[in-house]
Amino acid sequence: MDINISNAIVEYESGGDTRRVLNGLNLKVKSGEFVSILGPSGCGKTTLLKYIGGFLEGGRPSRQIFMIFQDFHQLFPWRTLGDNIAYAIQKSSGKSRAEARKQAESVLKEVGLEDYYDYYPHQLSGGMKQRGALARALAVESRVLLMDEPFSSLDPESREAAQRLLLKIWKERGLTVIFVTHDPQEAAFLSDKILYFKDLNGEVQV
Amino acid sequence: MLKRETGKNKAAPMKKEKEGFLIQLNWVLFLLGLWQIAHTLEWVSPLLLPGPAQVLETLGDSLVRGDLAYQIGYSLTIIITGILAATALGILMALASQHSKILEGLVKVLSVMGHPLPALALLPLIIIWFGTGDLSILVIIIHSALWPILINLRAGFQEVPAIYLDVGKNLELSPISIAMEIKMKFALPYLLSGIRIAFARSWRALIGAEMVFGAIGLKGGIGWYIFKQRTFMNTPGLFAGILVVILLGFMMETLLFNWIERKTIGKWNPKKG
Repeated sequence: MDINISNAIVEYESGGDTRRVLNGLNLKVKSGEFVSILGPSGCGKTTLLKYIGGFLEGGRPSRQIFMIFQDFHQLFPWRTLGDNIAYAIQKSSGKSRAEARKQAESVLKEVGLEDYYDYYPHQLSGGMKQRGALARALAVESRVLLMDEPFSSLDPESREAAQRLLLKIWKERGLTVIFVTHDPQEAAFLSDKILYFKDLNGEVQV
Repeated sequence: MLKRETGKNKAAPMKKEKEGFLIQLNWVLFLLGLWQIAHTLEWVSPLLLPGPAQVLETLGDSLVRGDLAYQIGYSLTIIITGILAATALGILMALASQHSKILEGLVKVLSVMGHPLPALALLPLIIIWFGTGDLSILVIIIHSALWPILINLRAGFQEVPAIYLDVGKNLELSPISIAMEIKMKFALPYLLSGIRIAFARSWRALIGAEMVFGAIGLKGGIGWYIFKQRTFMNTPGLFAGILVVILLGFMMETLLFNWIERKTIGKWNPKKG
């Protein structure tokens, strides 16, 4: 799935001040590409992802394009890890409970969490939760992953494991990934293409 | 390894809890002893202050031979019915207020008016409207229970983190699914503490209303039992009734609700478990 953004404009109003975060931004990401977006914090990277994902006002998110947030708490805490994924499968495909469970188990295996089906999110480490969130995106068969610094709060060891896992899945599944980070090394390690956000105007340099 | 970690975290507060329980138990025993001494030494006329043994005897007698068991059953049945009805109504109203700004305005106005209004202030009006039967008692319980449930649930809805709603939208959940899966489940702890407050409020209102209404149903409830004892100057009976109110209130508020919380939110929310 190609992503084509042309002339994106996003403004926030706070206390009478209008702040333009994206200023006529153009962005093309071809299907199957792994693109990193790099830039100082507060430069509009997250806004761009939310814009692409349809999370901003007037947009409509779809399962095709799935967002993985930086926040570890994106799995529903009232469901076990496996149930989180099975629920997403049931809702997206209308499969029966048993079928959804089976598919959830296989997706969890893909991210190396097959032994944690019955764990509640609060019993999992940060890295496991992020892998769980990734598993949920895979379970609903998203074609594009929008990743907002998903590994930036992990310790170096689990971060590297998570990066390798993401690369493996990206290749195996032929996904399109747009990955936001403030770490140039991470961007270089992961992606085909790095976009650098210079400032608040949203000017992009490739 | 993870499991052991959570286990370890739980062990320390449990030990503290047990210690606290023992201290409280000792205080209960001390107060009972003091009561017995006051009775034996006749600090107060025995007619006004019967001894614990006498009260227990009257209590046993009322339970076995009198109507007290029936009256307890009556009070509990009607309060549980009322709270279930208030919970259903509260959930509907809270969901409705999420649905549209206009309905939200209505719900806000109703809560502002209803919440501070004690049920007993409505009693005369309720008697005129609904008579002095079960229905009136139910109305009083529902009025006492509804507002704390509604207000707590709405507070819970306000607190739903945006990230869960974003995930819900990303999964293309319908508004109904978002309400039932995300909002209701996130707000469940708020709902449960609302029901806890609702129980405390309606329990007080129920006992009061039963005294005013007299024998509703066949033989009335616990409030009526207590009231009747005064008529006969049966102070041990009065104390027995008060004891029952304390014990039932404690059992519902502490044991039952703690059990429900452990069984539901305790599993996913380690702070409540």
